[in-house]
Amino acid sequence: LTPRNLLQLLDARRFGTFYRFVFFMCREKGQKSLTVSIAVDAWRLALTGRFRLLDQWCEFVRMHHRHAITEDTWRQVLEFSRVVHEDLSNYDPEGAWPVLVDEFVDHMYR
Amino acid sequence: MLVLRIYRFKKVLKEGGSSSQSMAAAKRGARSKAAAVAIEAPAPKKIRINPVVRRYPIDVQGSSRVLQNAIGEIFRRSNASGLSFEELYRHAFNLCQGNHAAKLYQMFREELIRNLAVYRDGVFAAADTGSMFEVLDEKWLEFSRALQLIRALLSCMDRTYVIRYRERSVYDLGLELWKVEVVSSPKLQAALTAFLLGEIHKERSGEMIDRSKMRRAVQMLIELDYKIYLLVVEEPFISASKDFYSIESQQLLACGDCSAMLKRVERRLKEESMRVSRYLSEKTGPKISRVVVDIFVGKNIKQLVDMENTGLEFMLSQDRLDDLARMYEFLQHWEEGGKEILDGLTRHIKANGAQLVQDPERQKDPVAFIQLLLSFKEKYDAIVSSSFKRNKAVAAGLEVAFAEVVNLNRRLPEFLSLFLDNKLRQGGKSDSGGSDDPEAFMDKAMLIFRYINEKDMFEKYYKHHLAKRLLLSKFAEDELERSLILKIKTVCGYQFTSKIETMLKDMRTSEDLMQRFRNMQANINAAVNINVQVLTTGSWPAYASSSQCILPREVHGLCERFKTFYLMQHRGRRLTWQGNLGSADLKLTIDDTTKTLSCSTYQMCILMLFNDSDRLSYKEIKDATGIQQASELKRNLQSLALVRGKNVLRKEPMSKEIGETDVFVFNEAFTSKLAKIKICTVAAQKETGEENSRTRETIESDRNPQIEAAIVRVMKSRQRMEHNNLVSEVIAQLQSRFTPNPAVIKKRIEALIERDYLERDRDDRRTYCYLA
Repeated sequence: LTPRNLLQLLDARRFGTFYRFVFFMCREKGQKSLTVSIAVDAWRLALTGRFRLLDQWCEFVRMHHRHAITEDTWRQVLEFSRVVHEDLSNYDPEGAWPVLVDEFVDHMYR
Repeated sequence: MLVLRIYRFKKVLKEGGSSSQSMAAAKRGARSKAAAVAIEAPAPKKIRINPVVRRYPIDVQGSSRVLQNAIGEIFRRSNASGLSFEELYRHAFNLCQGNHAAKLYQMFREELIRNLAVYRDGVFAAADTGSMFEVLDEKWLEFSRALQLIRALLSCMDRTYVIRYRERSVYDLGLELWKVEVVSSPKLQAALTAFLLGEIHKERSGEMIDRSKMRRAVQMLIELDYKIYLLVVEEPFISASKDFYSIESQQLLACGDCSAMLKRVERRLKEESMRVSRYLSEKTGPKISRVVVDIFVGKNIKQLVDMENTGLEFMLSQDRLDDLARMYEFLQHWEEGGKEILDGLTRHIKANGAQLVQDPERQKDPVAFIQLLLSFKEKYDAIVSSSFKRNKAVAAGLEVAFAEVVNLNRRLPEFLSLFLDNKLRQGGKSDSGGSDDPEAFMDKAMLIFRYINEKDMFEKYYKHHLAKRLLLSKFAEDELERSLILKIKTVCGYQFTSKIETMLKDMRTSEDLMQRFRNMQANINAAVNINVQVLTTGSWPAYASSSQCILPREVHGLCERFKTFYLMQHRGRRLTWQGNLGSADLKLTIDDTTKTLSCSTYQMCILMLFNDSDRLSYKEIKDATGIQQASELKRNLQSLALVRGKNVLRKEPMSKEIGETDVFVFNEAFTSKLAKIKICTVAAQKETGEENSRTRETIESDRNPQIEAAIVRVMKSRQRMEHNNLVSEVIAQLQSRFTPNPAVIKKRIEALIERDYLERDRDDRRTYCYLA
């Protein structure tokens, strides 16, 4: 039983809790948000197999050089992976997604 | 009218015979009998007095015959010169009185029909010769006149029998039968129609026709039966007109001159209106007008409006007010027409306006730019109010289009402020003939102001320019400034202008302060006079704090004393001298002449140094004055040393730029014709591109806290709100200052979430909740 396999076993609700916990775990002492590099690594860790656009997402975020990844953005990425289809067909521009997500979708469309 | 009363003694009257003879006989008989009675001795005879019975000797058949002949004569010869009207009337009257009116009526009717047949044959006979219309006209005249005469003759019958038995009156019967016998014939009607239309066509083509005949014919038809008029005249007329005008309109359309076409429509409408009044029924008027407008305009709306080189676009550019008025008047009958005008106007304004405001050449002179924009608006206002009769939809469209144009140029707020600055400086004195009323300019400028979305940009520039006006000009045109502020307040509300009003208040407070200060210092004889203005930080534009400088000792003491004085009154406040503002008047003595030098504070500091030394290097000046910003120092030295006529200082070397190794010497050879020399007037100037982007950055960053404040305000009152609703609310709240971008609002929401002001709802990620 590898750590990866263990992850697969968690159901949706518990996974959500786990995912949110990852954010806190990766935070540096005294900081409120994650740096981009740490966030990207954390995403790869947590969302592999659960987010079809994970690679594109990580590439985009790394390139975009945002100052920091806030907790709200972190959480919304999980929502995004669950709600929006791989082809972005049901993405709603008025859907109150974080600005980073909006920019990601723009980037994907081009 | 003589009526013989016959008293009856005996039955003297016999039936039959000539009535007049028997009357005469009876008279004689009566008299002789009376005489006989008088001569003889009255024998006691029983006298029977019988009741009076009036009886008229009527010869019914005789009278009827007479009348019948007479009527015939009248119809045939159209005059009754050989007949006695009185006699005939008497006959008629007698018949009526004797209850023989029915017979009379009947006779009249028959006679009428008989004669009408004659008329009809006459008219139809003429049909083949082609002069049927003339003959008809003639016959109708005859008949009318005859009928009128006969009506007079038989008026007693009209008054009594006709009314009682509800028959048609003489005149009406005449008309009715004329209609039935003559006019009902389809052949006649067709011929009539053809003739009338032919004449009308001739007239339309410019020929003269006999209008009175037309009029009579039409009047006849109308009198007889309006339906016949419609059938014979109106319908064919409308139909023929449609054909005629279709052809004409196609011809004109092909010529491609919209103005000419509209003028033609106007002309034709006038013509038709005259035609109707001359010989048609007035009810036909609106119908034919409708036809003209429909065919010329209604079917060709788009083509007319879009006509190349002559259509709406052209008319708007060339201020063809009359043509525009015509176009509007005709087009507004259709919804589509009104829409075309509105769309055309809007497009035109947006295109031309965009060109105007985005032209880089024009932007070099902001004042002229705004002026041009104002004239632009005035032009279209004039068009809308005169040609388009202030139509509400069009006026609204104009507003929308203009608002769009105004906001195309992002530097417009700055230009507007510069424009106002220029006008306010001119204030009471106008150098262009005195006809420019500053108030009028301000009102016009306010019109533009209303359209600006980024009002906070305007505020920034306005405050900046206002500060310069207040601090650096000698005269205070308080009234005009106030008037302008009031106008701004009307548009934006109190909050917008509160800081500006503080600025004005500061100026006044400073005056009072100075008064008190001077009173205090009255006994101290100072060679130096200072005038201090105390500005409330926050209301005035932000000035760099590194604007301190070392004041000359002559001034320094006085300044310190003022500071003490002030702080005594207002403890706990902090005062900072702003060296980059302020001005100074220096008395310059060269040889024997004294001149007054007006310059800025920095320049004063620099110049006063030369009281102690003749030569100073750049570095020495820098250190001594404490002016830290190199650009400021250089700029001021430039004004002092490199401006012809005002070069109080000489620079070594004599290069054009100020270098940090330069040395400055007081210019003994300095001369000027003026007694008072002004160095470096600091009027407000257009920002450079660089400065502008910096200002814009400042504005944008200033907006963020405002947006956040608005978000918090809204969320606090609503507690929970869906994302889109929140965005709309925030935009609405900030509308009077600027229009925030929804993306920017989103970023601010995220920031507020991060700072725990808001959170997403647990169940609905699109809704936010307020965190107390």
